Amino acid sequence: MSQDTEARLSAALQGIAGDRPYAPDLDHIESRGRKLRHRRLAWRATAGTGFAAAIAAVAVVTAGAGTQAPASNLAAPNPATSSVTAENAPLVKLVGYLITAPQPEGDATLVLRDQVYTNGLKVDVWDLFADNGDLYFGKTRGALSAQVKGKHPTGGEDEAGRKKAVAAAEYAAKGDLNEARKMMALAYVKDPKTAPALEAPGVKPSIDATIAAKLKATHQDASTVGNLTDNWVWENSLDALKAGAGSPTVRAGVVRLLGQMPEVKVTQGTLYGQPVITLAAGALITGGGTDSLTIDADTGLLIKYVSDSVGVTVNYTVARVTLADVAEGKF
Amino acid sequence: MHRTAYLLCGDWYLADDLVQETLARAYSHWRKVQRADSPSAYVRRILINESRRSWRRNRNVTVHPDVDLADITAVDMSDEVVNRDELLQALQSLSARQRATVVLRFLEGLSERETAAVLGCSEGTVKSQTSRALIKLKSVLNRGDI
Repeated sequence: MSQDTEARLSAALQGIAGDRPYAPDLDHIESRGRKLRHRRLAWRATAGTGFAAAIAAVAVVTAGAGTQAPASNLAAPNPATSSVTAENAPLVKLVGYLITAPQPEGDATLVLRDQVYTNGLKVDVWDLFADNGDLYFGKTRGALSAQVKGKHPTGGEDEAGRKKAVAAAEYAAKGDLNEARKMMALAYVKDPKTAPALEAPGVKPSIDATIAAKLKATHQDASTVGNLTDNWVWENSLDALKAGAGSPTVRAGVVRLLGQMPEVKVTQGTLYGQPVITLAAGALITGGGTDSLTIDADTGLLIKYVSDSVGVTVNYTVARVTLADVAEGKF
Repeated sequence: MHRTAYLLCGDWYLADDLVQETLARAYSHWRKVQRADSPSAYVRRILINESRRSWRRNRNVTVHPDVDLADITAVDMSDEVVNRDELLQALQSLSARQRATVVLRFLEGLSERETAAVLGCSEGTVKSQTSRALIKLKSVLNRGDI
């Protein structure tokens, strides 16, 4: 490219960006910065039970869970864990239905995301997840049709991670939850050898004495130190639930993975007259704020996601379609 | 930084959030920022990483140019007129790394070496990413020389 063209491109970018006034919210930055430092110190400081130890811990929690059996906190009521089991009963019922549900017709799942940010920004977008793993994206029906017709999936650096997250959920539906948890947690980790030690669900990480002193010295609350593996499983499970929204197996796997985390609170209710289940992850999982996921109590389909940490509410509409129909605009 | 954030994500509201988060992360790593060979490069790197994280978290939500139609008054590139919205769309169609390379090189005016330092890659990678990005910009904009 010639220097002249470089200069013209530079001028064009300067013109686009303009000089829009911006005043950072210093109080928010300081508050958020302190919170981030706390999380980093705390998570890094954890003694980090090795994965073998984590496996052992989970094995205790899910004793008797073979490749076909659900984890104990998704299984039949146990006097010692009756409160947990009672809370998770709707999840057990849902998983029981989903693992025997027939695969739906079509070869792709269409997801309309109606997103409303706390700053007032509203964004509606279409995601089309093909059963072969491809993702098509459009801001309008027409744009989405064009992408499918032209066979232009989005690809991108997250594609491999998304497929791994879906695979983890599929495995979790009927397989060993320990292995599924590991698969889900590391879905986006390019080199698992560099990943930190994984922790069992709900296990409160122990904090190194040096770091504990550091937290105390900086007036940070060590009691809010969370479980980083739970955080990864929560985040990646949401991705799997979107990408695999059309698959009862994926939905069952996600429900099993989320249901085994004690810090995920399960409540039943109704939304628009429809029985729903809400799974809420508190600050110990999100690292700050509460994120909640609302799914259809009968089908496990994604309905709504509310995130305090990101500041967004997303309403989902999910439908099974065929790529051919979408390419022709028939959806 | 705000302008860079805007070109990385394509939306002023999201750019506000991106800069806030970047500054908060810089605050939380303040000692590292102070000790860095180039504090500004360190903070730019946080911004680039945050824009990628934001994309992953929100999945394409950033592909939402909010250029006011009244504001699409055209940028004079010699004797031709470039639609701002079109160029912004083209920029958003690039991969995250290519977009970051273009923005750092041609908005912030960083050298190839400085861009490589911010992105944590070699100068050769910056050259190849720039070249590929410009080919895509050409095809998207269907222009002769941009």
